[in-house]
Amino acid sequence: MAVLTGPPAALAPADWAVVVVYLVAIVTFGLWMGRGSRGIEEFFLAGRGMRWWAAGLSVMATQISAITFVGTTGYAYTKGMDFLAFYFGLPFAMVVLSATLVPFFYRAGVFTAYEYLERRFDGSTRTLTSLLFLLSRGLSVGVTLYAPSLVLSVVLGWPESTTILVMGLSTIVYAVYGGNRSVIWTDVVQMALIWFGIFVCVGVAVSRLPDGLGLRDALALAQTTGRLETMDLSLDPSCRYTLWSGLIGGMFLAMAYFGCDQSQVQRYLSGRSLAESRLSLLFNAFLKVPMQFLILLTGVLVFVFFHFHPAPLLWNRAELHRLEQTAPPAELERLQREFDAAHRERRAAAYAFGVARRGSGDVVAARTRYIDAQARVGSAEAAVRHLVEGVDGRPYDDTNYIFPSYVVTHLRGGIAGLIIAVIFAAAMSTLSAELNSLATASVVDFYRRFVRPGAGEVHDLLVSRIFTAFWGLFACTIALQAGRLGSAIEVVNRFGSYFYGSILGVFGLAVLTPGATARGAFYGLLAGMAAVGLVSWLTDVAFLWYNVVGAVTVFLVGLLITAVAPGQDQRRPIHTAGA
Amino acid sequence: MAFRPAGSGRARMSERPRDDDRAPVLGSWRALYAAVVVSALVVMALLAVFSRWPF
Repeated sequence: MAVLTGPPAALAPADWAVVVVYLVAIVTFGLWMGRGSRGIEEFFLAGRGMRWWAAGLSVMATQISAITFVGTTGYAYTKGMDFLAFYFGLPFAMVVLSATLVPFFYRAGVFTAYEYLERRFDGSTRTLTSLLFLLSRGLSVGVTLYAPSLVLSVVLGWPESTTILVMGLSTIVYAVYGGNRSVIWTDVVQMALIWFGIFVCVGVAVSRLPDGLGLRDALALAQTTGRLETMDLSLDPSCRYTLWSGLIGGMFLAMAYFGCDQSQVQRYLSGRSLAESRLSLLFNAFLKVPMQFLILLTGVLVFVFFHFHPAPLLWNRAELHRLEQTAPPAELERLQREFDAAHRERRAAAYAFGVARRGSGDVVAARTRYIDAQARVGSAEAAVRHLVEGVDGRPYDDTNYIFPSYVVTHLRGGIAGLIIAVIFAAAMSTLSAELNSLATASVVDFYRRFVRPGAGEVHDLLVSRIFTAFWGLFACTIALQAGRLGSAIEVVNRFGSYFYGSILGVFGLAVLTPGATARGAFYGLLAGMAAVGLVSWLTDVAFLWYNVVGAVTVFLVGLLITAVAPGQDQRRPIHTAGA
Repeated sequence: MAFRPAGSGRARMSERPRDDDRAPVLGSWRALYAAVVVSALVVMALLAVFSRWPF
């Protein structure tokens, strides 16, 4: 039979030029902006001198990782836009945080969110929450680097380790040298590049529709397959992305992530005033949902694009090559024929549907024919997936490969290079913020308290740079060793959900209940994590609800323990001045 | 207290108006928060319309 996997797609010289220029420019810019860091306030909080829009763009860039960009477009291609519900609670969370936690953090003059907990409760609570942050963020930082590297290595044939090291080391260079000032200013540039890339993707996808079909036709096709649905009103808690899980679970997740995760708290603590810090979050409240809408819309348009252009049997080239080596040739050939026939039929049906919509035929009949053809494509894809899973003996998911495959095989004239640079930018902006925050928690919450208190600014700055480099190399090591992780976007989001809600509950106790004791907060935190563990183990409740379970459990158990065993330990003074 | 001009971010912390907490638009934070909530609801309503729009 014909060989299904040819050589990997190659970037044109113009694309290479764009990628190289991006990498050189962003590292140079990061080094330039970070020059002259003299102390740890400069290094960790950019001297608390950032404007709201810079801090706000940095908040946005930190959240939108390459996994988000690549995985979300792939998700929209395969399932549709219901993932948007994940962000519905975010604007409300930003309002709550701006009105509650941000003033507490800012006025306390803390470096880390967990430092505030020592002032409010005790050192144990600070240590435990900071440790949870280091654990969860330390592991996920490797995934942040690994997931896009894996995808780019498969699609472009680049060695996985090369991609990891190029992204990782170039980020380490400016994060170590310039600290948070470099991180924030490179985030600003990277976020601008990401926005530009999103608009280019949407524009290109629309411009590549066949003659005679326009954006409305493309949206009609997507709508017919249910891919434009953003509002699932189901009350079933096992449904992953519904209006309710998005509004309630998503709000709790956003409050926990933006309010209790140091990688975000550090962005807005860099604001030059409390008002600027608040505004940086509200800026995201306005823009986040529209931005995710555009990213998901890109995925939907790519789905329509492949109605009229050949799609591969599998998006993961490495898996397709393995299938060729191991699957029965006759079976594979039969599946390829069925797959090609289903795609040809869908192409004709989609075009006929578009033409009929313009008044040249029976719309209802054309729509029915298109739905049938789409179902046959779905069956053909499922049969291929079944064969892969039978051969490999494990679930197969190539969602994350769809968008990069589209980019490198169908975009020309430097645009593929631009989108690869956008994927790099998304990965590096998240990585740099995470490295900076991991170093901050390591130095401020542990090193300066337990190893060398009062060692002086010069020593602390040196140690801060060493910790930044350590976490960067740790991320590269984890990424180089990481195995298969399924749909990477959900792995990262789910992992955080095991801790985020519980930590949010502790901050809720700290801010909302003046009488809550340190003992209540500490044991409430343990109870919250145990509750989340039990819920995930014993039920099929969607992961967005874990945040609600964790936060509410911590809050109630903390109040209960406070009521049963009231102590004298609330509102203890912070132990380490200025740290 | 007015915002400091751009480019003065490297000043020492004690020199900066860190306690500046005036809402820059709409007069108060409460009004600004209300605007964010209303805009979020409007965006969600537009998304619902988008999902069901007869393209």
